[in-house]
Amino acid sequence: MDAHLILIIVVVTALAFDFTNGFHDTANVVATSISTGAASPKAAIAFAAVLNFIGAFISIEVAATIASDVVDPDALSGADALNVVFAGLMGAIAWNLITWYYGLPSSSSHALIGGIVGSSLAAVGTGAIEIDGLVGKVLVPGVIAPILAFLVAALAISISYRIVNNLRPGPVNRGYRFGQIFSGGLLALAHGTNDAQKTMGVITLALIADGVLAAGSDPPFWVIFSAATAIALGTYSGGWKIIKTTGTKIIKMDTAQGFSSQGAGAAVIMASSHFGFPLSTTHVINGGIMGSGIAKRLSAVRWGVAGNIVTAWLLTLPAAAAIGATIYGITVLAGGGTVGPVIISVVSVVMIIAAFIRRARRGAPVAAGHS
Amino acid sequence: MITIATVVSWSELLQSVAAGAVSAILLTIVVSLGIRGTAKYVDYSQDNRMGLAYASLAVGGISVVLTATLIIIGIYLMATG
Repeated sequence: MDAHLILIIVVVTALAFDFTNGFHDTANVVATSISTGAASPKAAIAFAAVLNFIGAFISIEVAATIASDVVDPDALSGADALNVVFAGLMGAIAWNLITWYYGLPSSSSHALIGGIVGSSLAAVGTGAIEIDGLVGKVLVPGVIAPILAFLVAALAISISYRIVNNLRPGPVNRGYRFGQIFSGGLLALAHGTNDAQKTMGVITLALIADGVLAAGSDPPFWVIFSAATAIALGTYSGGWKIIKTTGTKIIKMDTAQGFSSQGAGAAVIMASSHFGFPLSTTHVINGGIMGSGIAKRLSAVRWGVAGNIVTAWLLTLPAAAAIGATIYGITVLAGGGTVGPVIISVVSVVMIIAAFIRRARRGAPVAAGHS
Repeated sequence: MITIATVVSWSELLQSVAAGAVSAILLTIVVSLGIRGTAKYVDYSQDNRMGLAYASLAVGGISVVLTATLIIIGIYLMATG
């Protein structure tokens, strides 16, 4: 009974993470559409939520990477394997909420991977970590992807400006605004594909570690459906403060820049998802935004804000790992059974409600400005 | 001794880089040409140069079809693995 209760707690926690992932990453998906005036905030967010849901069903390559290429399920399959997964998830959720509270668009994906790696290190040591998978499928593609999005967006915006050169701005702006419906839609689809799969992967990892599924199994349909639903609901709930940071504080964008950055981000994420690389959508879209800004003029990018975001990126893996390891330690101190996860879940819910109330008292949600 | 060169699947990574870059650039070119075609259609129509106007409109129309085709192919390739 205890094991099943922990499994239920892990699944619920994973879906809660998925919700915060969508909530936290709404900005990545819709900020450029909103900031260029291509879509109203409500329409952009609803559109993104629906496409997030659909995107989750497109592929399961990333889920397979998370389930078997980051940590070794066999090494975890001990009495407290589910506590390890639970602690990793809580580390990721905690870091997501901390960065959300301060309006920093850090990576939910890296928070998840950092949390799981941290709790696994604390529980089993380095033997549980699949170094090859972690480096080859997560870290190296994770570094290359935002650079690629940056370069592609820069090239794309240069080509765009050449093609529409000497045309009246009215029709051009209307054209790219219309184009952003497609590029924004593709980005939302790509986001759903890559990010929802990470939760599917974690739940599958827990099911394998608990012996419910055999090693190497694909996520069952109920896992795919529930992960798709959670990320879509999270996206619909939105994260307004981060939208403002991503959409208007990095650069002031025109519609062509918005289209180029979204197109570059969507293409890079979708291609990577096809090969099972669990990218940070945050990193990729911000790379695209900076690329489309720098092609216009170097000073268009607000480097101070960009620097803060990069700092948050660098902190994410170790910070989430440290929190994951600490939470695992607490579960051990609580006896290693169901008690630890139950106490931590209750305390976390109370802290999250307190954070929301505090944020609400500090002021109403901030809508993105238009440029 | 593990080195990055040995643990990274360079073939998959390069395919991913190439697919992402080429599809994004193609999409940008096609959409931008469509926008140019549509904008020029309005300009030429106002100048009563209807031959050029219809040619520009055709460019716009073709670009819409190509954009939709590119998106469908991309999603199909992802979904079918």
